[in-house]
Amino acid sequence: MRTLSADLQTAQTTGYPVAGAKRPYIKCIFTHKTGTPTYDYTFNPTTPATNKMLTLNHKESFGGRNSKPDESCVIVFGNDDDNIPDLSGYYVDLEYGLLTSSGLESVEVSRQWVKYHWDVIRTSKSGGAHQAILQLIGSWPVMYEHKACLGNAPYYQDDYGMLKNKTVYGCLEYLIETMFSAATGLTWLLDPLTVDDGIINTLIPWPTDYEEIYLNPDAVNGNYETIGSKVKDLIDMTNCYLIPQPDLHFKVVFPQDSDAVNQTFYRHSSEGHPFYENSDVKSPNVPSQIIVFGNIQEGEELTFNRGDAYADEDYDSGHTTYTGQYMNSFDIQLAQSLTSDADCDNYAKALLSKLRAMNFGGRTVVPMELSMELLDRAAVIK
Amino acid sequence: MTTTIHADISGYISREPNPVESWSVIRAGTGNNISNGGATLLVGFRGGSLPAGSDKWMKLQRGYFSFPTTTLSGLTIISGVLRIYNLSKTKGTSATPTFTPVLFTPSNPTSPAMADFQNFGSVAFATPIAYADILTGESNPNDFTLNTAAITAINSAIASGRIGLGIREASYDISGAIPPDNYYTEISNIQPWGYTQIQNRHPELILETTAVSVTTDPATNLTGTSAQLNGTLINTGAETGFVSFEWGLTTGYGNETLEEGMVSSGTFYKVIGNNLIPGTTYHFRARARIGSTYVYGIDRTFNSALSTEARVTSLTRYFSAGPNMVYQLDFQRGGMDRYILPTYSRAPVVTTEAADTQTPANDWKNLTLADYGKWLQQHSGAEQKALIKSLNVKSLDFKTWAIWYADKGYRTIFTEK
Repeated sequence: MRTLSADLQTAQTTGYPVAGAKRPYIKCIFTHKTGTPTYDYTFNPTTPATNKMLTLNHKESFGGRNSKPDESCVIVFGNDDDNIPDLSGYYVDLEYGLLTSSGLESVEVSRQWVKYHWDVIRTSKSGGAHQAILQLIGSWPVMYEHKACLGNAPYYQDDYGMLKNKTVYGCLEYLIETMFSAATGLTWLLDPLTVDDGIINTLIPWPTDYEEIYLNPDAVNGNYETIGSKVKDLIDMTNCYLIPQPDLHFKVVFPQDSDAVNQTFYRHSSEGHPFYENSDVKSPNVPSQIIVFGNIQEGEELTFNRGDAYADEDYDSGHTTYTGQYMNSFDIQLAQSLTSDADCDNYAKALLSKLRAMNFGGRTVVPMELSMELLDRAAVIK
Repeated sequence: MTTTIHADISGYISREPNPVESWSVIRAGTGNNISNGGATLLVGFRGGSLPAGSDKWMKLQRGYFSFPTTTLSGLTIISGVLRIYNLSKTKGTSATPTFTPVLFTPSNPTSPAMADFQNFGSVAFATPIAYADILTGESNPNDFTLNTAAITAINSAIASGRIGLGIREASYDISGAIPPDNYYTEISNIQPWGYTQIQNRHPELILETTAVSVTTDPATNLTGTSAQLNGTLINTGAETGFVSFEWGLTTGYGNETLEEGMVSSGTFYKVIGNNLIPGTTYHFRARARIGSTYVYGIDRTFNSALSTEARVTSLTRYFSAGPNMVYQLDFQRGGMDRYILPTYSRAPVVTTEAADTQTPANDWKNLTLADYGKWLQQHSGAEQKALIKSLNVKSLDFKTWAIWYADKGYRTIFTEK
């Protein structure tokens, strides 16, 4: 949850310049990767005559177990004066805000890059419209663009063990601060851990006594991992999530049941921040059990480590009988580098925990709420 | 108006153990003697023939009356008195007994049994009368002024056709304190006249009633923090009155709404809250006041709406600089990405009025520059000029077009032509 100034909070909840009124402000300065030139296409409510921004649609999503995190944005500018230059490749640090009693105030979100710059002209017998449509992507999609090349060509399988004997957090730190920075020419930072789920700073995905290939194990068939996919795989082994922040930072978030609600939304503005629309949906736990196999060794006798996690509410106390509303089902995850049942157990529990968090779904449309960020705990009073 | 009803069933039930029992045991025991409609009605206790302080008791008696309530149908009781006549009394030297009416709920309302010894209530229905103030003789009535609990119980019993009341000794039988006079302590023989005795000296209920009644109707418009309480005033006697609600977490309520004047029959309501606790059960009841007296509806409950809490897993900021700006956040919680959304809408940004007072009647929130382009393509220059006042039409004219378009009431862009 982002912290808002008192004036910005007032403008958001009460309104400014009069009660109930809100004047949107979106800071939008496109910058060349060298720092210059810059083009300011901010939507400024105090200078309506010069505003070019027509629409903006900006989505952030951390992605589920089998989907990539998404950060994308589409901005449409009126370009009747044909003054907007080619902005492809430029970056922008968007800020969302409002006109307040202290002037224009805003909060910054994570950086985005212009991936596509569309130039659209519509004509008619006596006029038409000229628009610039920009499609932008954020940190996660950029991270997925870069191959995880570490070690010797052509397979880049971390021949020198840069990820070996590091905890999950240590691996993430190396991938983001060293590899991703080198790949992009930017200085990326992973914020220091302020939380500990018992896994992220303990589990070592590639221990020193594990000699099999950890990075790009299928490179021989042309399948290379990306920095994004490796980071996603690593964070999925924990109960934590990785959230992009302004200034090229990532932070680790460990959601816990004891966390306080960050924002609450109501039917009526008289009760608090209202919602326009809310939809909730629930589904049963599928799978209701996760099995993780690790360190599978095929000798004279097949040996392996195993971890299990159950959705407790769907089983009796011994996990022998399914008592849930749907039907028993399980999923299997291989984690060859895990060499103890305890590590496999922890991985299975982390996977199940994240799956269960997805069983409830809700979508809510509200008047702009500036403090909200991914993984905030939001409550809707229906 | 005053309505008087007489008991048509009365008697007493006692426990008379042999050997004698401690006070706690005799109070909690099963009745083993009953007098239905006998000549006398006894309330009291008798100690065993043992030294004081030995806690040995040989008799405990509780009296009962049963009143038909059919004549009260359609009326609401606002106050009342239980009147009994008593011919004699006796007690030990140290005991200070008091007597009070209580609720009596026998298994068979018209035929109490020994087993109903434990069906006497323990909530006093009137301020207890001390032994010294109990009057004797057929010309000296003992009046117990019934309290709110008693009036509520009688009003609730009207529909069933019968109300049972009992008389219990209060200082020791109800409280559980051991009487100080064990050895030959007798305070029995309080004798309310039974119907077999002197006529017009039956136990009687003298009730002040009103034709005004009120019902508590189910709550509506429930949100997590507010609710609308509903009631109906039935005012057949055209008496003036005031209506309000009591509400709270228990049947003790603890909160009340401001009274509103209401002189004729009809429904009424009050919205409470902004500070209710989501997902919580609340009690409430409607009430009407006539003069200084209240009549109440039954207790009802409602559950304030649940809050759904989940992590934000996706959020979309949306802005549109159209003729009516949109500036909103569309966020998904939990695993919403997995589902197909059943609905979708965009609401205009609030510029001059509260968010929830915006009406979606105008459709320009759905109009885009692309729609404008389509319209331009479909209309001649003359048509465009008629609207825009210029043949040099630009995208900046979008606002003029959109307002005009919305004013025409079109809801679907491509059906006009």
